[in-house]
Amino acid sequence: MSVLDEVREHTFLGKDFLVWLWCKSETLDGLFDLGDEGEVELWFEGKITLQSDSERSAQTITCTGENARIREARFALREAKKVTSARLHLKEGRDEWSFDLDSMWMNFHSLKMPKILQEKGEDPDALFYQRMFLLEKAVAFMDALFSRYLEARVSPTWQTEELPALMNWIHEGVLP
Amino acid sequence: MGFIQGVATFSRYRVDGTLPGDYIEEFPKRILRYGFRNLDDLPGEERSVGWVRILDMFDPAFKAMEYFKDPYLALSWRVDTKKIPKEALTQYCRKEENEVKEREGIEYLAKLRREEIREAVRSRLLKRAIPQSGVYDMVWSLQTNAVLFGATSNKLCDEFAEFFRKTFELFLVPVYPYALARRAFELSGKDQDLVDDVQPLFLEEEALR
Repeated sequence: MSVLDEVREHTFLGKDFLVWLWCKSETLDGLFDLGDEGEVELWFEGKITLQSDSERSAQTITCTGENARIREARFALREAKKVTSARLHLKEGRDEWSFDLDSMWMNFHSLKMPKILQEKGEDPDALFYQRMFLLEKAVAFMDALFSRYLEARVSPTWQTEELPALMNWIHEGVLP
Repeated sequence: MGFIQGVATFSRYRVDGTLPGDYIEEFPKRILRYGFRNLDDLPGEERSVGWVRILDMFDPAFKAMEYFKDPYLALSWRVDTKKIPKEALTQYCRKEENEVKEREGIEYLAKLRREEIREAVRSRLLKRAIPQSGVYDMVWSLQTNAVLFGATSNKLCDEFAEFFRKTFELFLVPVYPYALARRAFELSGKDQDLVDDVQPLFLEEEALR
């Protein structure tokens, strides 16, 4: 199977991850304990794109606003639409990142990284290393969050706890 | 805009294969061989791609091997394209054809002759066209074999992966959710095939229960 076929066949992995992440970011007050990676805050930041799974009538809805918990976006999840990209905000200590994450490839788009203060005469490579450190950190956090999602999906508690909590969040918007 | 300045948009890869033991000697030769060449030096060409310095798109010379930033290899991939507007090409071809017909006292031109005229006009207009440049950063961690490439368009990414293969004789494998999932299970000591047990969520069906 070619990479592109494999990506298409499993495109739901990224979409379902973003739905789970959206739910968790709201029901856990945005706090995620990533074990060795530390604790991060994550929230959806004002722009979510949803698309229907049906290939015959692909419909796309983009919801923008200061608060991503907009009713229309959450309602769309009940209408067989999945999240295809979202603007996320990630925070760890004093460092903050914001970026769009797409569900198909889980690529980062328009990633804003923490500002780096440069002193005059500083080695130009120092900037490169600091930027790479921050960039790789953001990637590692998202990979760790994806791993958490996968662990939840294969856990025996998925059907009994995680999925009902997700559905409850979609229906009611209340804490599970 | 890119990994070192501004906002970053990027796709992720893993290098499939082993880093050659003599890469410190070998890679500079290959990078230089596949360094960017200006379209001005390539008559008749509409497109040129190649490596440049990550912080200076005008430097394809790599006098110092500053792209080795231990443990990374950092370069930019420059793509220059000259485009002749279709309407302009048609207009200049018609003008040229009319001149030839008048000069030679003929009413019609053979297909082959018209193609020759079109190619000559295209070549002349290409010399006058100003190229559009795109520069995409590439950072390769030689320690982890992870590659970040500063673009996400499928077409561009495919071309980049092929260019990377030609340069370094190593294949790039894209990182995407399924591959990430297999790796995540592997890293946590689980069977990688567990990922195939994960089925899509049908939230609309769940909502009806």
